[in-house]
Amino acid sequence: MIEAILANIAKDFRIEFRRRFAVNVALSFAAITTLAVSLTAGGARLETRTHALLFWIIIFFSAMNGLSHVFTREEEEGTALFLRTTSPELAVFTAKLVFNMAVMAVIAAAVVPLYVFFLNVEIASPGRFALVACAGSAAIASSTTALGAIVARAGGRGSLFTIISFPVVLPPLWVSIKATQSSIAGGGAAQSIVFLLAFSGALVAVSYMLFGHIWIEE
Amino acid sequence: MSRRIFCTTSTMTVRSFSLDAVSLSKSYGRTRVFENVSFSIATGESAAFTGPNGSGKSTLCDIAAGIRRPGRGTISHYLNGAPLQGESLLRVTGLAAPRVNPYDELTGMENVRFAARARGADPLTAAPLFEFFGLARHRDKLLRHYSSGMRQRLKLILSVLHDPALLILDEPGANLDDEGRWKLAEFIELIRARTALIIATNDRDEAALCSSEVRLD
Repeated sequence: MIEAILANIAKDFRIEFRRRFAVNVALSFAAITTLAVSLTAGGARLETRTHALLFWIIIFFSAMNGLSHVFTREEEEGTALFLRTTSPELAVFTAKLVFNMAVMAVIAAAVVPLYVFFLNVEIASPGRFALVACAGSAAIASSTTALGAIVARAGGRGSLFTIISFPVVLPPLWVSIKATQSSIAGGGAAQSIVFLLAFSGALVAVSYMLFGHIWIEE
Repeated sequence: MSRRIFCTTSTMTVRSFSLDAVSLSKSYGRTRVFENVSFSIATGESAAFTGPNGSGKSTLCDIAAGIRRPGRGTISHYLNGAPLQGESLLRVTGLAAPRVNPYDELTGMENVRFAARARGADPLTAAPLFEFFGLARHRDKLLRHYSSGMRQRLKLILSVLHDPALLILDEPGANLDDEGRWKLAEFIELIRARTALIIATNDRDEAALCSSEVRLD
Protein backbone atom coordinates (compact mmCIF):
# COMPACT_ATOMS: atom_id res chain seq x y z
CA MET A 1 0.00 0.00 0.00
CA ILE A 2 2.82 2.44 0.85
CA GLU A 3 4.44 1.80 -2.51
CA ALA A 4 1.10 2.36 -4.28
CA ILE A 5 0.60 5.64 -2.41
CA LEU A 6 4.10 6.82 -3.30
CA ALA A 7 3.60 5.79 -6.94
CA ASN A 8 0.39 7.80 -7.15
CA ILE A 9 1.92 10.84 -5.45
CA ALA A 10 4.90 10.76 -7.82
CA LYS A 11 2.57 10.37 -10.80
CA ASP A 12 0.31 13.27 -9.82
CA PHE A 13 3.18 15.63 -9.10
CA ARG A 14 5.01 14.65 -12.31
CA ILE A 15 1.92 15.32 -14.41
CA GLU A 16 1.21 18.61 -12.66
CA PHE A 17 4.83 19.69 -13.09
CA ARG A 18 4.55 19.10 -16.82
CA ARG A 19 1.17 20.75 -17.22
CA ARG A 20 1.06 23.22 -14.32
CA PHE A 21 -2.66 23.58 -14.80
CA ALA A 22 -4.08 23.46 -11.25
CA VAL A 23 -1.35 25.56 -9.69
CA ASN A 24 -1.35 28.15 -12.49
CA VAL A 25 -5.12 28.58 -12.36
CA ALA A 26 -5.19 28.88 -8.59
CA LEU A 27 -2.19 31.22 -8.37
CA SER A 28 -3.46 33.42 -11.20
CA PHE A 29 -6.81 33.78 -9.48
CA ALA A 30 -5.15 34.49 -6.14
CA ALA A 31 -2.79 37.12 -7.53
CA ILE A 32 -5.40 38.89 -9.62
CA THR A 33 -7.94 38.93 -6.80
CA THR A 34 -5.42 40.22 -4.28
CA LEU A 35 -4.35 43.00 -6.62
CA ALA A 36 -7.97 43.88 -7.37
CA VAL A 37 -8.76 44.09 -3.67
CA SER A 38 -5.70 46.25 -2.99
CA LEU A 39 -6.58 48.62 -5.84
CA THR A 40 -10.15 48.88 -4.64
CA ALA A 41 -9.03 49.54 -1.07
CA GLY A 42 -6.92 52.36 -2.45
CA GLY A 43 -4.66 52.50 0.61
CA ALA A 44 -7.58 52.87 3.01
CA ARG A 45 -7.03 51.50 6.49
CA LEU A 46 -9.25 48.47 6.92
CA GLU A 47 -10.37 46.88 10.16
CA THR A 48 -8.73 43.61 11.22
CA ARG A 49 -12.03 41.83 10.75
CA THR A 50 -12.27 43.08 7.17
CA HIS A 51 -8.69 41.98 6.47
CA ALA A 52 -9.40 38.52 7.84
CA LEU A 53 -12.56 38.24 5.77
CA LEU A 54 -10.94 39.38 2.53
CA PHE A 55 -7.89 37.16 3.09
CA TRP A 56 -9.96 34.03 3.46
CA ILE A 57 -12.32 34.92 0.60
CA ILE A 58 -9.27 35.03 -1.66
CA ILE A 59 -7.94 31.74 -0.26
CA PHE A 60 -11.33 30.03 -0.53
CA PHE A 61 -12.06 30.94 -4.13
CA SER A 62 -8.48 30.27 -5.20
CA ALA A 63 -8.89 26.82 -3.66
CA MET A 64 -12.18 26.25 -5.45
CA ASN A 65 -10.42 26.95 -8.75
CA GLY A 66 -7.63 24.50 -8.10
CA LEU A 67 -8.76 21.65 -5.86
CA SER A 68 -11.40 19.93 -7.98
CA HIS A 69 -8.97 19.52 -10.87
CA VAL A 70 -7.19 16.55 -9.35
CA PHE A 71 -10.17 14.23 -9.89
CA THR A 72 -11.94 16.07 -12.71
CA ARG A 73 -8.87 15.68 -14.90
CA GLU A 74 -8.93 11.89 -14.44
CA GLU A 75 -12.57 11.61 -15.54
CA GLU A 76 -12.34 14.11 -18.41
CA GLU A 77 -9.23 12.56 -19.92
CA GLY A 78 -10.44 9.01 -19.47
CA THR A 79 -7.63 7.95 -17.14
CA ALA A 80 -9.91 7.23 -14.17
CA LEU A 81 -10.56 3.66 -15.24
CA PHE A 82 -6.83 3.08 -15.72
CA LEU A 83 -6.35 4.36 -12.19
CA ARG A 84 -9.11 2.09 -10.85
CA THR A 85 -7.49 -0.96 -12.43
CA THR A 86 -3.96 -0.22 -11.19
CA SER A 87 -4.21 1.36 -7.75
CA PRO A 88 -6.02 0.52 -4.51
CA GLU A 89 -8.70 3.11 -3.80
CA LEU A 90 -7.15 4.27 -0.53
CA ALA A 91 -3.82 4.82 -2.26
CA VAL A 92 -5.60 6.98 -4.84
CA PHE A 93 -7.35 9.03 -2.14
CA THR A 94 -4.20 9.48 -0.08
CA ALA A 95 -2.23 10.69 -3.07
CA LYS A 96 -4.95 13.11 -4.13
CA LEU A 97 -5.17 14.42 -0.56
CA VAL A 98 -1.42 14.98 -0.45
CA PHE A 99 -1.62 16.75 -3.81
CA ASN A 100 -4.42 19.03 -2.67
CA MET A 101 -2.53 19.83 0.53
CA ALA A 102 0.43 20.85 -1.62
CA VAL A 103 -1.78 23.02 -3.85
CA MET A 104 -3.21 24.75 -0.78
CA ALA A 105 0.28 25.26 0.60
CA VAL A 106 1.33 26.94 -2.64
CA ILE A 107 -1.79 29.12 -2.64
CA ALA A 108 -1.27 30.18 0.97
CA ALA A 109 2.44 30.79 0.39
CA ALA A 110 1.57 33.07 -2.52
CA VAL A 111 -1.43 34.88 -1.04
CA VAL A 112 0.08 35.65 2.39
CA PRO A 113 2.98 37.83 1.20
CA LEU A 114 0.94 39.37 -1.62
CA TYR A 115 -1.88 40.28 0.72
CA VAL A 116 0.35 41.58 3.49
CA PHE A 117 2.41 43.65 1.04
CA PHE A 118 -0.28 45.11 -1.19
CA LEU A 119 -2.79 45.83 1.54
CA ASN A 120 -0.14 46.99 3.97
CA VAL A 121 -1.35 44.82 6.84
CA GLU A 122 0.39 45.15 10.19
CA ILE A 123 0.32 41.73 11.82
CA ALA A 124 0.94 41.69 15.57
CA SER A 125 1.54 37.89 15.71
CA PRO A 126 3.08 36.76 12.39
CA GLY A 127 3.82 33.26 13.70
CA ARG A 128 0.22 32.66 14.74
CA PHE A 129 -0.98 34.20 11.48
CA ALA A 130 1.12 31.73 9.50
CA LEU A 131 -0.08 28.81 11.63
CA VAL A 132 -3.71 29.78 11.12
CA ALA A 133 -3.13 30.09 7.36
CA CYS A 134 -1.57 26.60 7.32
CA ALA A 135 -4.22 24.98 9.52
CA GLY A 136 -7.10 26.61 7.66
CA SER A 137 -5.66 25.64 4.28
CA ALA A 138 -5.23 22.05 5.46
CA ALA A 139 -8.84 22.00 6.64
CA ILE A 140 -10.06 23.18 3.24
CA ALA A 141 -7.99 20.56 1.42
CA SER A 142 -9.10 17.81 3.83
CA SER A 143 -12.77 18.56 3.51
CA THR A 144 -12.89 18.98 -0.28
CA THR A 145 -10.77 16.13 -1.67
CA ALA A 146 -13.51 13.51 -1.48
CA LEU A 147 -16.03 16.09 -2.71
CA GLY A 148 -13.84 16.58 -5.76
CA ALA A 149 -14.22 12.88 -6.53
CA ILE A 150 -18.02 13.17 -6.24
CA VAL A 151 -18.12 16.19 -8.55
CA ALA A 152 -15.85 14.48 -11.08
CA ARG A 153 -18.09 11.40 -11.16
CA ALA A 154 -21.14 13.65 -11.61
CA GLY A 155 -19.49 15.29 -14.59
CA GLY A 156 -19.65 18.62 -12.85
CA ARG A 157 -17.38 21.59 -13.37
CA GLY A 158 -16.09 24.32 -11.08
CA SER A 159 -19.39 25.86 -9.97
CA LEU A 160 -20.80 22.55 -8.75
CA PHE A 161 -17.66 21.91 -6.73
CA THR A 162 -17.90 25.31 -5.06
CA ILE A 163 -21.60 24.86 -4.30
CA ILE A 164 -21.28 21.47 -2.63
CA SER A 165 -18.04 22.40 -0.87
CA PHE A 166 -19.31 25.55 0.77
CA PRO A 167 -21.46 23.95 3.51
CA VAL A 168 -18.62 21.60 4.44
CA VAL A 169 -15.93 24.28 4.34
CA LEU A 170 -18.01 26.90 6.18
CA PRO A 171 -17.11 25.81 9.75
CA PRO A 172 -13.32 25.83 9.27
CA LEU A 173 -13.62 28.97 7.14
CA TRP A 174 -15.47 30.75 9.91
CA VAL A 175 -12.98 29.63 12.56
CA SER A 176 -10.06 30.59 10.30
CA ILE A 177 -11.46 34.07 9.81
CA LYS A 178 -11.87 34.54 13.56
CA ALA A 179 -8.39 33.20 14.29
CA THR A 180 -6.82 35.36 11.58
CA GLN A 181 -8.54 38.45 12.97
CA SER A 182 -7.19 37.57 16.40
CA SER A 183 -3.63 36.97 15.19
CA ILE A 184 -3.57 40.28 13.27
CA ALA A 185 -4.72 42.06 16.43
CA GLY A 186 -2.21 40.20 18.61
CA GLY A 187 -4.64 37.87 20.36
CA GLY A 188 -4.52 34.11 20.90
CA ALA A 189 -5.43 31.52 18.29
CA ALA A 190 -4.37 28.21 19.85
CA GLN A 191 -7.88 26.83 20.35
CA SER A 192 -8.83 27.73 16.79
CA ILE A 193 -5.74 26.03 15.39
CA VAL A 194 -6.50 22.90 17.40
CA PHE A 195 -10.10 22.97 16.09
CA LEU A 196 -8.91 23.31 12.50
CA LEU A 197 -6.48 20.40 12.86
CA ALA A 198 -9.11 18.25 14.56
CA PHE A 199 -11.62 19.14 11.84
CA SER A 200 -9.08 18.11 9.20
CA GLY A 201 -8.51 14.81 10.98
CA ALA A 202 -12.21 14.09 11.30
CA LEU A 203 -12.96 14.90 7.66
CA VAL A 204 -10.04 12.81 6.44
CA ALA A 205 -11.25 9.86 8.53
CA VAL A 206 -14.80 10.17 7.16
CA SER A 207 -13.46 10.55 3.63
CA TYR A 208 -11.41 7.36 3.95
CA MET A 209 -14.50 5.47 5.07
CA LEU A 210 -16.66 6.80 2.23
CA PHE A 211 -14.18 6.98 -0.64
CA GLY A 212 -14.54 3.35 -1.66
CA HIS A 213 -18.25 3.91 -2.30
CA ILE A 214 -17.52 7.04 -4.33
CA TRP A 215 -14.68 5.57 -6.36
CA ILE A 216 -15.97 2.17 -7.46
CA GLU A 217 -18.48 2.34 -10.27
CA GLU A 218 -22.06 1.24 -9.77
CA MET B 1 9.51 -17.17 -23.93
CA SER B 2 6.87 -17.01 -21.20
CA ARG B 3 9.49 -17.34 -18.45
CA ARG B 4 11.66 -14.66 -20.06
CA ILE B 5 8.77 -12.26 -20.35
CA PHE B 6 7.48 -12.58 -16.82
CA CYS B 7 10.23 -13.77 -14.54
CA THR B 8 13.73 -12.76 -13.67
CA THR B 9 14.09 -15.88 -11.54
CA SER B 10 14.07 -19.44 -12.80
CA THR B 11 10.86 -20.55 -11.08
CA MET B 12 7.28 -19.54 -11.77
CA THR B 13 4.68 -19.74 -9.02
CA VAL B 14 2.03 -22.38 -9.56
CA ARG B 15 -1.37 -20.86 -9.01
CA SER B 16 -5.03 -21.78 -9.24
CA PHE B 17 -7.46 -18.98 -9.95
CA SER B 18 -11.22 -19.28 -10.35
CA LEU B 19 -14.08 -16.90 -11.01
CA ASP B 20 -17.72 -17.84 -10.45
CA ALA B 21 -20.48 -15.54 -11.68
CA VAL B 22 -24.08 -16.47 -10.87
CA SER B 23 -27.15 -14.78 -12.34
CA LEU B 24 -25.53 -11.43 -12.98
CA SER B 25 -27.84 -8.63 -14.01
CA LYS B 26 -27.17 -4.99 -14.64
CA SER B 27 -29.47 -2.06 -15.33
CA TYR B 28 -28.99 1.67 -15.53
CA GLY B 29 -32.22 3.25 -14.48
CA ARG B 30 -34.92 1.59 -16.55
CA THR B 31 -32.45 0.38 -19.18
CA ARG B 32 -31.60 -3.28 -18.73
CA VAL B 33 -28.08 -3.97 -20.00
CA PHE B 34 -28.06 -7.74 -19.44
CA GLU B 35 -29.85 -10.23 -17.25
CA ASN B 36 -29.20 -13.58 -15.63
CA VAL B 37 -25.67 -14.15 -16.94
CA SER B 38 -23.76 -17.01 -15.34
CA PHE B 39 -20.30 -18.31 -16.14
CA SER B 40 -17.21 -19.76 -14.53
CA ILE B 41 -13.60 -19.57 -15.53
CA ALA B 42 -10.39 -20.94 -14.05
CA THR B 43 -6.66 -20.93 -14.71
CA GLY B 44 -5.93 -22.32 -18.15
CA GLU B 45 -9.46 -21.61 -19.37
CA SER B 46 -10.70 -18.83 -21.61
CA ALA B 47 -14.08 -17.28 -22.36
CA ALA B 48 -15.23 -14.89 -25.06
CA PHE B 49 -17.91 -12.34 -24.25
CA THR B 50 -19.79 -11.78 -27.47
CA GLY B 51 -22.89 -9.88 -28.44
CA PRO B 52 -24.11 -6.89 -30.42
CA ASN B 53 -23.08 -3.32 -29.64
CA GLY B 54 -24.65 -2.16 -26.39
CA SER B 55 -25.23 -5.68 -25.10
CA GLY B 56 -23.08 -5.07 -22.03
CA LYS B 57 -19.80 -6.80 -22.89
CA SER B 58 -17.68 -3.97 -21.47
CA THR B 59 -19.89 -3.69 -18.39
CA LEU B 60 -19.54 -7.42 -17.79
CA CYS B 61 -15.75 -7.05 -18.16
CA ASP B 62 -15.77 -4.34 -15.48
CA ILE B 63 -17.81 -6.54 -13.16
CA ALA B 64 -15.47 -9.48 -13.76
CA ALA B 65 -12.51 -7.22 -12.95
CA GLY B 66 -14.15 -6.09 -9.71
CA ILE B 67 -14.27 -2.41 -10.60
CA ARG B 68 -18.03 -2.27 -11.06
CA ARG B 69 -20.80 -3.76 -8.95
CA PRO B 70 -23.46 -6.00 -10.48
CA GLY B 71 -27.08 -4.94 -10.02
CA ARG B 72 -28.09 -8.45 -9.02
CA GLY B 73 -26.34 -11.76 -8.74
CA THR B 74 -23.02 -12.70 -7.23
CA ILE B 75 -19.46 -12.91 -8.47
CA SER B 76 -16.63 -14.53 -6.55
CA HIS B 77 -12.89 -14.67 -7.21
CA TYR B 78 -10.49 -17.16 -5.63
CA LEU B 79 -6.74 -17.61 -5.82
CA ASN B 80 -5.38 -20.91 -4.47
CA GLY B 81 -8.64 -21.33 -2.57
CA ALA B 82 -8.49 -17.93 -0.85
CA PRO B 83 -11.21 -15.37 -1.70
CA LEU B 84 -10.12 -12.18 -3.41
CA GLN B 85 -11.60 -8.72 -3.26
CA GLY B 86 -10.47 -5.12 -3.23
CA GLU B 87 -6.72 -4.71 -3.33
CA SER B 88 -6.01 -8.45 -3.44
CA LEU B 89 -8.18 -8.81 -6.54
CA LEU B 90 -6.62 -5.73 -8.13
CA ARG B 91 -3.14 -7.24 -7.85
CA VAL B 92 -4.02 -10.38 -9.79
CA THR B 93 -6.25 -8.81 -12.46
CA GLY B 94 -5.23 -7.20 -15.71
CA LEU B 95 -7.67 -5.24 -17.89
CA ALA B 96 -7.02 -3.77 -21.33
CA ALA B 97 -9.95 -1.89 -22.86
CA PRO B 98 -10.65 1.11 -25.09
CA ARG B 99 -11.87 2.96 -22.00
CA VAL B 100 -8.69 2.27 -20.01
CA ASN B 101 -6.40 5.13 -20.97
CA PRO B 102 -2.90 5.67 -19.56
CA TYR B 103 -1.55 9.17 -19.02
CA ASP B 104 -0.69 11.33 -22.02
CA GLU B 105 1.75 13.43 -19.97
CA LEU B 106 3.85 10.40 -19.06
CA THR B 107 6.11 8.38 -21.30
CA GLY B 108 5.36 4.74 -22.07
CA MET B 109 7.93 3.63 -19.53
CA GLU B 110 6.68 6.06 -16.89
CA ASN B 111 3.17 4.71 -17.28
CA VAL B 112 4.53 1.20 -16.90
CA ARG B 113 6.64 2.11 -13.89
CA PHE B 114 3.64 3.72 -12.22
CA ALA B 115 1.39 0.73 -12.85
CA ALA B 116 4.06 -1.70 -11.65
CA ARG B 117 4.72 0.20 -8.41
CA ALA B 118 1.01 0.64 -7.74
CA ARG B 119 0.43 -3.11 -8.10
CA GLY B 120 3.53 -4.16 -6.23
CA ALA B 121 5.15 -5.60 -9.35
CA ASP B 122 8.70 -5.24 -10.64
CA PRO B 123 9.00 -2.58 -13.39
CA LEU B 124 11.90 -4.56 -14.88
CA THR B 125 9.40 -7.11 -16.16
CA ALA B 126 8.29 -4.52 -18.70
CA ALA B 127 11.53 -4.51 -20.69
CA PRO B 128 10.98 -7.82 -22.51
CA LEU B 129 7.32 -6.88 -23.00
CA PHE B 130 8.30 -3.67 -24.77
CA GLU B 131 10.56 -5.76 -27.02
CA PHE B 132 7.88 -8.35 -27.67
CA PHE B 133 5.22 -5.80 -28.63
CA GLY B 134 7.62 -3.70 -30.72
CA LEU B 135 7.61 -0.61 -28.52
CA ALA B 136 11.20 -0.68 -27.27
CA ARG B 137 12.18 2.31 -29.43
CA HIS B 138 9.21 4.32 -28.21
CA ARG B 139 9.19 3.67 -24.50
CA ASP B 140 10.67 7.05 -23.59
CA LYS B 141 8.24 9.04 -25.73
CA LEU B 142 5.31 10.84 -24.18
CA LEU B 143 2.12 8.91 -24.69
CA ARG B 144 0.55 11.84 -26.50
CA HIS B 145 2.99 11.13 -29.35
CA TYR B 146 1.91 7.49 -29.69
CA SER B 147 -0.25 6.36 -32.56
CA SER B 148 -3.51 4.55 -31.78
CA GLY B 149 -1.88 1.21 -32.53
CA MET B 150 1.06 1.96 -30.26
CA ARG B 151 -1.35 2.99 -27.50
CA GLN B 152 -3.16 -0.32 -27.83
CA ARG B 153 0.12 -2.23 -27.57
CA LEU B 154 1.04 -0.26 -24.45
CA LYS B 155 -2.36 -1.04 -22.94
CA LEU B 156 -1.65 -4.73 -23.49
CA ILE B 157 1.73 -4.35 -21.78
CA LEU B 158 0.14 -2.54 -18.84
CA SER B 159 -2.46 -5.26 -18.47
CA VAL B 160 0.05 -8.10 -18.26
CA LEU B 161 3.23 -6.68 -16.72
CA HIS B 162 2.28 -7.95 -13.25
CA ASP B 163 1.62 -11.51 -14.53
CA PRO B 164 -2.10 -11.45 -13.72
CA ALA B 165 -4.02 -14.58 -12.83
CA LEU B 166 -7.09 -13.09 -14.52
CA LEU B 167 -6.61 -11.24 -17.79
CA ILE B 168 -9.53 -9.39 -19.36
CA LEU B 169 -9.12 -8.02 -22.87
CA ASP B 170 -11.91 -5.83 -24.21
CA GLU B 171 -11.57 -5.54 -28.00
CA PRO B 172 -7.81 -6.27 -27.85
CA GLY B 173 -7.33 -6.10 -31.61
CA ALA B 174 -8.71 -2.60 -31.93
CA ASN B 175 -6.29 -0.31 -33.82
CA LEU B 176 -3.73 -3.10 -34.25
CA ASP B 177 -2.16 -3.79 -37.61
CA ASP B 178 -1.64 -7.35 -38.90
CA GLU B 179 1.66 -7.70 -37.07
CA GLY B 180 0.08 -6.43 -33.87
CA ARG B 181 -2.76 -8.93 -34.13
CA TRP B 182 -0.31 -11.72 -34.79
CA LYS B 183 1.73 -10.70 -31.76
CA LEU B 184 -1.44 -10.59 -29.67
CA ALA B 185 -2.40 -14.12 -30.70
CA GLU B 186 1.14 -15.34 -30.02
CA PHE B 187 1.13 -13.70 -26.62
CA ILE B 188 -2.19 -15.25 -25.69
CA GLU B 189 -0.80 -18.68 -26.52
CA LEU B 190 2.19 -17.98 -24.28
CA ILE B 191 0.16 -17.03 -21.23
CA ARG B 192 -3.04 -19.07 -21.50
CA ALA B 193 -1.77 -22.02 -19.51
CA ARG B 194 -1.27 -19.96 -16.34
CA THR B 195 -4.02 -17.36 -16.79
CA ALA B 196 -7.79 -17.24 -16.77
CA LEU B 197 -8.54 -15.30 -19.94
CA ILE B 198 -11.60 -13.29 -20.93
CA ILE B 199 -11.88 -11.58 -24.32
CA ALA B 200 -14.80 -9.28 -25.08
CA THR B 201 -15.14 -8.87 -28.81
CA ASN B 202 -17.28 -8.71 -31.91
CA ASP B 203 -14.43 -10.17 -33.97
CA ARG B 204 -14.88 -13.84 -34.72
CA ASP B 205 -11.12 -14.42 -35.01
CA GLU B 206 -10.59 -13.00 -31.52
CA ALA B 207 -13.49 -15.00 -30.14
CA ALA B 208 -11.96 -18.11 -31.67
CA LEU B 209 -8.93 -17.65 -29.40
CA CYS B 210 -11.15 -18.68 -26.48
CA SER B 211 -12.40 -22.15 -25.60
CA SER B 212 -15.88 -21.05 -24.50
CA GLU B 213 -18.36 -18.27 -25.21
CA VAL B 214 -20.71 -16.15 -23.13
CA ARG B 215 -23.26 -14.69 -25.48
CA LEU B 216 -25.01 -11.45 -24.46
CA ASP B 217 -28.13 -10.46 -26.34
